[in-house]
Amino acid sequence: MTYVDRPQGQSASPPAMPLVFPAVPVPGQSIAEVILEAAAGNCYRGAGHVISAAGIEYMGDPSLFARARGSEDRLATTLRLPDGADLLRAITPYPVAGRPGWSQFFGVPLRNLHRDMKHRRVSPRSLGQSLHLKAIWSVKIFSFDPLTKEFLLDRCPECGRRPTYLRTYGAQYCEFCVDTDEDGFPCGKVDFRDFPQPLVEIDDMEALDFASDLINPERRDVQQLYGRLHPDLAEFDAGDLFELTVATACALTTSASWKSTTLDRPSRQEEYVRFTPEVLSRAARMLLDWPEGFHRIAAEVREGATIRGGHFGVRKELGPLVALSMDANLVPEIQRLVKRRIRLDMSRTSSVAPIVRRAEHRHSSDFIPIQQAAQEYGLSRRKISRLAKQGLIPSIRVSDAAKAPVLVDSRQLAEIVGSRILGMPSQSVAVELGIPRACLSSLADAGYLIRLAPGPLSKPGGEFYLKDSVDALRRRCEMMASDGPRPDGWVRITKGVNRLGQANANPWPRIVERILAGDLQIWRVEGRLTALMTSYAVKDVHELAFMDSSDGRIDDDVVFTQAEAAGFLKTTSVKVNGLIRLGLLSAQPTASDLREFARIFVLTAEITDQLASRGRQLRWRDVPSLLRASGVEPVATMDGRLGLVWRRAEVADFIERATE
Amino acid sequence: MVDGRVEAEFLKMCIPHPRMSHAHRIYDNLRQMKVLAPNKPQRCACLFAPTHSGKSKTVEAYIETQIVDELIAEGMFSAEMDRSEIARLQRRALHVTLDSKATTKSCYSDILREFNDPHASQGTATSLLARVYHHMRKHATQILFLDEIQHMDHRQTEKDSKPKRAGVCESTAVTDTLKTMLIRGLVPIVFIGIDEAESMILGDQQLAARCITKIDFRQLRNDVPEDLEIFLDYLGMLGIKLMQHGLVKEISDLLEKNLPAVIHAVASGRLGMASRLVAAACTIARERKATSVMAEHVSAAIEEWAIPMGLIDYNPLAQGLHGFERRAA
Repeated sequence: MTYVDRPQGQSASPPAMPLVFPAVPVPGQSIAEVILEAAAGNCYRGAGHVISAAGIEYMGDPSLFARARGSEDRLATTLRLPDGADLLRAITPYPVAGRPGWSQFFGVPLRNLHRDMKHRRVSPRSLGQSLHLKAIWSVKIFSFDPLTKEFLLDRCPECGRRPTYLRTYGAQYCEFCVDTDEDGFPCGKVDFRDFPQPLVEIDDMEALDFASDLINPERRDVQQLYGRLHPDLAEFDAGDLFELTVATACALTTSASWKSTTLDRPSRQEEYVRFTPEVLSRAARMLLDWPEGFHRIAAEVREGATIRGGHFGVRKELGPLVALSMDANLVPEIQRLVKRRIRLDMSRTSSVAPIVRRAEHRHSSDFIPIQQAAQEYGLSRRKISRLAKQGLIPSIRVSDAAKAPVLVDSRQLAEIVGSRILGMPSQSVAVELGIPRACLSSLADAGYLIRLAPGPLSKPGGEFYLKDSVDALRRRCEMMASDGPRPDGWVRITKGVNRLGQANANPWPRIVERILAGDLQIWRVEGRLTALMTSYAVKDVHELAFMDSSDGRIDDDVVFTQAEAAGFLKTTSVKVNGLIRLGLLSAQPTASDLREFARIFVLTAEITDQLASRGRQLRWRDVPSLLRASGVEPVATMDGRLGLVWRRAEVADFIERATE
Repeated sequence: MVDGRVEAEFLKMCIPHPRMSHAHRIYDNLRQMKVLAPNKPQRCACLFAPTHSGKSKTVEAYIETQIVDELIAEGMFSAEMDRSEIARLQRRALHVTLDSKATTKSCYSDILREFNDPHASQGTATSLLARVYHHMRKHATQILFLDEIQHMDHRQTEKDSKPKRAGVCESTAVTDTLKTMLIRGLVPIVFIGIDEAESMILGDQQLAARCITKIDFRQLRNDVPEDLEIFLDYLGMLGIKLMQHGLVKEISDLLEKNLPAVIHAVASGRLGMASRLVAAACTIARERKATSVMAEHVSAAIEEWAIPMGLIDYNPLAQGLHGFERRAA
């Protein structure tokens, strides 16, 4: 419920009538205190009498502050303050333009939330010295009177109710506890002055005074305050600095259970008990000792990081301060200032211990997350994780964090995976050169490539070759290429080798040898295919027919990939995979495995080829029915009815009979 | 036959006389009692007289002279300030005129209204009375003049609902409250009213016991030398005041021949009524461009004002004074 003044142009309000006794505003009182004391001074029970005497109509908001706004001229008449309208305007909390939720507090912008517009608090000792209420007591941040340093009384010691700005028996009395005076009239019973409260006892009283002086209308010269501040802070007005102090106090009192990324600010009266004088003094000390004060606070906040939610990072370490740097109630300039200080603090403290941090906050790259290591060293995260688990590289992980990143020792990892850095895996070399991986070792044996010693990362059978040796071989071969147009009938080297159909053979050492010796003339083939032996061509296939099967044979222990095995068996990798599933081949077949398989079994495609080579052209799909008609049954069937595996011995008899 | 200027000047006019001075001395004593014994039970005084006897005028004169002089001497108001304005603003002596059918609450409201309380009639009777006490104490009011006391509600309080004795007026709620004010030492009270109201105050024995005196403001009798002297002095001074206030150019001789006796007969010995008759005569004199008020103007005033108003049924200046009036006068 409120009284509001009608805007000009509407029907006239009743004229303002002066009170019997004039109000006597004292410095430090806002409009509500002045009106309440005027009511008491005129023996009115309610402040509403003063408001209605001023002709301010009743509209539904009980706050004296709201009711008085815009009616200062009328109130000045009622309160009998000639020329007092300007004074009343100065002590009325007018909204701050462009800052919703903020109002003027004696010329200093202050958040409305910080003021209690309904209930009043008192300092019994202050009332004893001067029987006046003070506006600073309505600021919920302060639990004490800034001058007497006495804790404020917010409830009647007898009835336990909270005094308001609406009724009064006098500034010093509880408005609910009634007694009878000597004349038999109702009067206040509980005199707050009879209940002095404890005094604030903290070490840093200077900082506490600073915090209250920022907004206290009875403060000392404000220029003295600013004279003490660091230039970074001196550019902000007192309201902004006060809000920074409040926000810092919030950060200091943020509980470990606070999960939100925003600052833990109080929203109810009861939550303002967090702002103890000690906390406020620590927050104010941060401003006084800026910037070192900030880093002290940061260290304090960081000490509580272990009990704070989260696992690592700047939020884990300085969570409340990070929230402070994004607090919407601070002006953007202060937010930026705090963010800058946080960054500086993180860099200052980065060498303290190998703690888990993001890259930009780490002092050195000794320990890096697995994700980063995987990117830097070209290893999969799984492999690095395995190394860490096996203890082959030192690692750090936040305890009790299931998904916390693992930091691994970068240097150690570099040593271990040195071969991966300096060398190339055999598969990559095969792709680079266009030569089957199984044949690479023979090139190394011939001295064209340098094989690296296997390390912890090497899989069984896995090989690495010195990258420089691969590059050198490629460079040497390219230097031997002939200029000029390619001859008619040219064929790429890899294609020529495949046409020769000697998958079991290893012609590559000889090919390389002849190229480098100039015996085999090659030409460059431009195109998207970049593998060495694919991007160069020979005159014709016959140029490559210099070799025989005994000339080069793949070592038995060379491990084939499924694709390579498919080439070896003249089938597809899908079929090879099917054979592996049937258990007819191992998952990582060696050359001897493949040879053994080829000795015992045969696939339909090869049977068709053999029949064709003997002059009997059959469709590939007709072969199984012919075999079955001859009493030959497949050993196994892969996916689809045509993926058949036959026993070579049985099939050989059939081929003999069929081609006779 | 109305001249606003004449009426205004007569309102401003104040002619001291022994009865007024006597009343002022009583007021001074009551105030002195309050000042010397502020928290002790106070006394009251009564001023009952017929209408237009100058009862209210004596209070106004007291405030505008005695009280205002004191306040200026104490530096509470500037000497350059208009005296009537000072009299209006001051609260040392409070002149309250009771509303018709005054109840306890309306009585408090009337007092609060005199204080210019914006909520003089809002609240319970108790809260209003508390405010009366508060305001009086805070303003250090030294005397309360309750005028038109005959307006008081004559209903009795519950405690006095027993059968009343013949000829004795029992206390009322209002008198009880006023009595309590005296007992609590709040302020001395002067009760002012017409003769018929006397029993309202003095009929209450407890209140009567607290009354220090009845101020004599009865009609002036022409067979009592002291009264006659007062009346003649008053008329003489009135003739001078007419000129001093610029209503006529020369001093009017209102004492010539049988003029005092005629005026006395028409006014029935009441100074206020005599002033009203002379005011009417002055109006006629100004209409006739006369330099002073003379018998012919008084005669015309009797014809045009006094007889229509029922103050007298003939013109003594034309027909001579009748014997009855002569005796009464």
